[in-house]
Amino acid sequence: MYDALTQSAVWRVKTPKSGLVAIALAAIVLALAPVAIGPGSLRLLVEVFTMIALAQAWNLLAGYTGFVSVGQQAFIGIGAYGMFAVALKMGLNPFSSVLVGGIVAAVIGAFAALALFRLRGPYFAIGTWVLAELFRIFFINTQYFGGASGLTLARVLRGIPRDVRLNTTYWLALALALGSTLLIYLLLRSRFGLAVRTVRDNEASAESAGVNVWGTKFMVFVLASFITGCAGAILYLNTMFVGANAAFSVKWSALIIFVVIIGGIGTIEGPIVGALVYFTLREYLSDFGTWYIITFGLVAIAAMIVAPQGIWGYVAGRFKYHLFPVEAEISKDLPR
Amino acid sequence: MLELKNLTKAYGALRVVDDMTLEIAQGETLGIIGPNGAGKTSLFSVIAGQVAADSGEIRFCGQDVTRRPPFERCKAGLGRTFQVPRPFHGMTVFESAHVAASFGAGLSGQAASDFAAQAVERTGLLRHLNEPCSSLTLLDRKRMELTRALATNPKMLLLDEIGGGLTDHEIHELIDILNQIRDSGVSIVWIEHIVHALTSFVDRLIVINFGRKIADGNPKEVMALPEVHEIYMGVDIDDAA
Repeated sequence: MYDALTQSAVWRVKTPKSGLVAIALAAIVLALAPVAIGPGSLRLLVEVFTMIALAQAWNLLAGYTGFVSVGQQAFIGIGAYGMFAVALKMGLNPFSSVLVGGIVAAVIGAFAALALFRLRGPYFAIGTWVLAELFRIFFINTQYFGGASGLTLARVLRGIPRDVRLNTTYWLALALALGSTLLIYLLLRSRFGLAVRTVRDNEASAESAGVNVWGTKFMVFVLASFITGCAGAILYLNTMFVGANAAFSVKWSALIIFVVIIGGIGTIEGPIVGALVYFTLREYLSDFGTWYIITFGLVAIAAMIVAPQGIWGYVAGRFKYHLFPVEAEISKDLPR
Repeated sequence: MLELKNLTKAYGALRVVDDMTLEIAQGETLGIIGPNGAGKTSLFSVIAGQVAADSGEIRFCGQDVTRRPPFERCKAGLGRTFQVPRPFHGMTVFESAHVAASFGAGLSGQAASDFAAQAVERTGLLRHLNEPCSSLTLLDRKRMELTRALATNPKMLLLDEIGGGLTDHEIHELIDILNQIRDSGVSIVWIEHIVHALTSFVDRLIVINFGRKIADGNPKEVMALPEVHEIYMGVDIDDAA
């Protein structure tokens, strides 16, 4: 419709490399960690990494697309049970079964979206919780999945040396944390990411800019379900035992929300910072019984008063720095 | 280019669009006036798809779009602005235009960036290119509405009170922009209360009251009709607006 503005200069969207470098460095250093640290620390790191993935998925939903789920435990449990089922009943390698857990969660997420997307705002949030409860009740009452006593992986893991099991679980968790961070970052920097953010900001405007709002939400929800399902599978691969009451507990969503809010919602760095803060607190405070829960509450309140945008939101605002800038900055390149 | 056939939309007993039949040709500029609550914005929402019609038909560029979702109508070439600006608060001016150029106009890569930046420049927002939309003034938010609609590369623009609150000088600037857009072959349908600005720009004017079209034709002739005067209760039309 219009002629090019000026032929001599070109509009360029800046493509910062800081985030990619950080992920590459983290991958190299952390992949070598099993050489240096013991099994207890490895197990803890598996928890940290899966929490980062869970938080990234929830942040993609709530922080970037604008829909708040308190039913993430549905996909944690489905991922875990999916993985246990194929490993135990079909004899698939439990490590490769993690991917199956993720896929099962994604498929169920896709069907759940058809119903859940009819609900909005708080109704959507409650709807996701109800979904998780439905699955909890289903698994508790289904003997095929062990009923109330749950399932154990001991039988299929017996032949695998402890070191191999621990290290493989660790690497899977590391790959999931870094992979989901990288994927979500690249996605948000792409044109799909623009669509995602318009859906959060104003659905009517998004549609009148040509964005398929329903389709965008659907893809985001399925992706978040997949990541959450993989994380659930790895979490319970780490403990080797799954029970429906724990796996489908709403505590998971509370924890994920705590991590993302403390770290900084709507930033890629936030879920990582939040997970690190949470596990540091937990490791130091777990000996103090109930005080540990009370301290979490106080930290959450303090964060909301001092830094409502979370720790990373505060840092980024103060120093104008983003390790993973999602916003596209444009400038005019002069001809060389 | 756009044909409405017996289009109706009611909320209970209230018919906000009542048996509307209207045809708009390519390159035509059409003004819409009418008292508050006459159904002007509702008509836009039914045409652009935010609100579903109860009955009747909407054809755009020969296709029946009556049941199509708004994003598909946008891609087909229907651009609209909202009367109350609805900016993307968490995005920059450039990103807002970029998303429209990417999805509405279907461009990618450098072409999308260039087209978006051009739309921003046309509407005079270039100095805010990398600023978040949440920091824009009301006036600039109205410009942002036009920018987003323009960046979808529309065949027809539906402008909902885009001149409200502007000074005479700013109105002239806006009309200059709209003239350029019209000259590039885009049809423009413009709802506006500032009647003298509207009549100086449009080829044709329609008057809506209670969801019905009560006058349609040459702006001067329409403004001289007794029914139109009656709606504005005999007050000088510019003041009544």
